[in-house]
Amino acid sequence: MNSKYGYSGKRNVFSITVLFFIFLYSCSSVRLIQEYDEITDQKLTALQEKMARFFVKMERQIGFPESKYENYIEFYDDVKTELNVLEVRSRAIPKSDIVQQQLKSVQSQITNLEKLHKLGFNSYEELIPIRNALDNSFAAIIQLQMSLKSRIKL
Amino acid sequence: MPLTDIDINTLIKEMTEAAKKELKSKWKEVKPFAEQQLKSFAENIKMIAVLKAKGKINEEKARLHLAIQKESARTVLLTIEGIGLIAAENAINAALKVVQTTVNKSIGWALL
Repeated sequence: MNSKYGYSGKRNVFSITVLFFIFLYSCSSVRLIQEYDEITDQKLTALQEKMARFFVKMERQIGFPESKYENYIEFYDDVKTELNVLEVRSRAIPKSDIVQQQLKSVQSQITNLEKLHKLGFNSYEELIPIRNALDNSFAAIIQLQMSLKSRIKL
Repeated sequence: MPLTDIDINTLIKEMTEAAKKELKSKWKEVKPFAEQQLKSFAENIKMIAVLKAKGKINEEKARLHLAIQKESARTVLLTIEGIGLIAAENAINAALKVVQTTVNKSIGWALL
């Protein structure tokens, strides 16, 4: 016995069903930027603390031999390594272009801070705009992480 | 005009207006954060200009200082871009949530 709808009718029902499931699939949440990453957030906060300690120490040491670049080589190596680890981790996270660029930007700031340190600091005044710049950078990256954490999820 | 004569308030105002123009509808979400950061950026530029004018830093150092400020501003702008994307994403997902609720309610069980 022939079906009430015939072959073309069945094909239409099938097409509508497929379209309906495509619609359902499209109703899953949209992601334009990466998910919040707790490890990145924690490591960045730790790195920011390390930088804050650097500026506190330099404020006390400036004008004394302790503040010389040679005494801070290990510090720069550590900071650059930590930033590199974070950047590599970030590369593995989908849609993380913005955070990757931010980390590269902080790396560049550290490189220039190191160059200035090699040239020598004569007074703490010289360090104030650098400290402010790095504080602003870390605040910006952490602010983005907080916004990623509080986004709407379906 | 010497760099030390920079009017900080005018600079902040002009930077804020430029950011506002570019960000358009996203400005509302990022305004408190953006204004604070742009103010700090302008103050740092002024500080560097004063250090150079007083002879406390030479040209080489001033260039490195400015490069740091430029990268810092870039980091801040990237956050503003990211917050804008999250705002757009939130708007889309809030709309989808309405669809989800309506569909689930109409069929009587959680299909979506």
